[in-house]
Amino acid sequence: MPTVPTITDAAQAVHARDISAAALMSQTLEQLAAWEPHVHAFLEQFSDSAQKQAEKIDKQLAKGTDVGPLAGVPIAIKDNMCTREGHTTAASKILETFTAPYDATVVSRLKKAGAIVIGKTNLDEFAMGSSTEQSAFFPTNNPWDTSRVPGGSSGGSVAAVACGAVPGALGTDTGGSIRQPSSFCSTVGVKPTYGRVSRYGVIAYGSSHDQVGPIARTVADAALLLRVIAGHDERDATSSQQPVPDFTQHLSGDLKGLKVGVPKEFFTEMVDQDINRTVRAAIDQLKSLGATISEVSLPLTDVAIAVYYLIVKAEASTNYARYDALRYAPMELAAETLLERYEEARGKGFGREVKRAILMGTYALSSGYYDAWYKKASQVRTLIRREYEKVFKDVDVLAAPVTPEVAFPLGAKTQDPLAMYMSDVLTVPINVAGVPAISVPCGFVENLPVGLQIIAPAWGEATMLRVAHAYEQSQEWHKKLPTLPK
Amino acid sequence: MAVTSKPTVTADDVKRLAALARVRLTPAEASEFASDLSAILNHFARIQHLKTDTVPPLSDVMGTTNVTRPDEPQALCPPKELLDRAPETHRDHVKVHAVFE
Repeated sequence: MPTVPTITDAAQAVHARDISAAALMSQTLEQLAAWEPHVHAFLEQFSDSAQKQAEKIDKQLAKGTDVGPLAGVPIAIKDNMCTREGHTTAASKILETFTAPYDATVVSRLKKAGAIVIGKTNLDEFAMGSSTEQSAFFPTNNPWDTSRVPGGSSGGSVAAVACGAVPGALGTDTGGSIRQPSSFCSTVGVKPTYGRVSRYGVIAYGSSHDQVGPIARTVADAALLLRVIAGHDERDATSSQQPVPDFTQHLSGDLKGLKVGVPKEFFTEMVDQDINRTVRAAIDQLKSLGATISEVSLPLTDVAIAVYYLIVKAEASTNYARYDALRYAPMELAAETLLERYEEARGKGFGREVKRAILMGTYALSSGYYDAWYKKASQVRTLIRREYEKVFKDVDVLAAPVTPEVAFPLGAKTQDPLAMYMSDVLTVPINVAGVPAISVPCGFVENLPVGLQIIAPAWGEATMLRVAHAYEQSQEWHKKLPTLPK
Repeated sequence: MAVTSKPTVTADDVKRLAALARVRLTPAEASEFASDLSAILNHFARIQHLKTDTVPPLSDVMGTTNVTRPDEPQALCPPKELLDRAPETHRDHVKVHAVFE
């Protein structure tokens, strides 16, 4: 079976009429049919409507209509983003029957650009988790080793791209949920600067950390997706007026004059030795491409996880107050009074991690505890943000590992919530500071993927993508794909 | 209220929080979550040692100030689409169990 092309190649081929959108869609669906029984990336596939949409695009192209830069490209959408097609469940029982009456802004922008939404992918329930095992429905498996997790919470989106079936996907990243699975599965994954991409129509988890980002097989593809979805949206008051450069331009191969900082706190003994070695080799490669490497320090790195969880769980507890099985997505309930029906619906409808999060958030916000926990965390957050601003006065980007370990076996961490939280220790500081970061494949440890994290200052995606692209093109990791299990 | 360096969350604390959050828990869940939360908060208590007397809490990640738009009605979604999703309706209202008894 030939590999489905990259987004860039596919869009070019469809525009040039070298391949029809319909043929490209058939190829994608065929690959998915082969991989899905092993991986379970999707909660819902829209095979029929996607095929019809592809045929419609072919007709428009035949008439000479400009369909957009993503003409005919199949894209998977993490199921915490509203789509008019199918359901939007956030992988939770409390939204199992919910059908969204609108498309999220990112989805409508993709559609305007000619992309075809091929389905909704699996995630940890309400985007809380680092393995996709917290989905209320079923876990997703890592295409590189199906006994292991793909990472989370965007495990479904990443797995769909990693196996080579779907050229691109959207995920969300609140504490690493695009970057960590990308590192576990050898995809490119971007968390944009907070405010770069609209959150309208995205089911909120930690509203001051959440960002939608692209997942693809190459940096150029991720840059193209980011260009399409980024930009101010008047429906999201937290989206920025900052102009969006064309991220697909200026992806040159040379890094002469670029200053790369290596934060020592990201390389402690907590990080697996082989990952440390692999990432250091990638940093050496940046040096041979012309960059100057220097060691920097981010002393607040080890408290970032506490700051992150306290703030995010508090925001989550507020965000999830709206789920009541009352105005939409009804549930079968036995209770008779309104209050008891709320308690029953939320008790049954929310999974373990979501309940734990709501309790922790409610605790951090409650009277008598608010100052010591939520307010304190918010103050330390200011300190962390200042720390990142300061380090970027001396260097252009930071280079570091994405995760302290490679993809772990299914079930290995589900009994220990603190252990699960600690997988995010190298990704959460970035969301706390609000800056952008990317995970780009940089090798394998015992046949399991490892990602290199490039972190840029706020609004510095163009530089970040340039560095990641230069590294990628100097290696062959992006050409490696997993083998279909027998 | 000062936080001790070893916060302990009891099952009763969890039951109280659950009531505030309108989430029904089984007694087993209440005690499991109590030990989870104690372990997690124990680990997070390290932030208490940082000096933050003159540090403002971060409320706006990217420094945006109040964002407003003109108070003009916009046709965003036909009401029927929303009402169709409610389990019970009555004359263009969502019907619910009694709020006051």
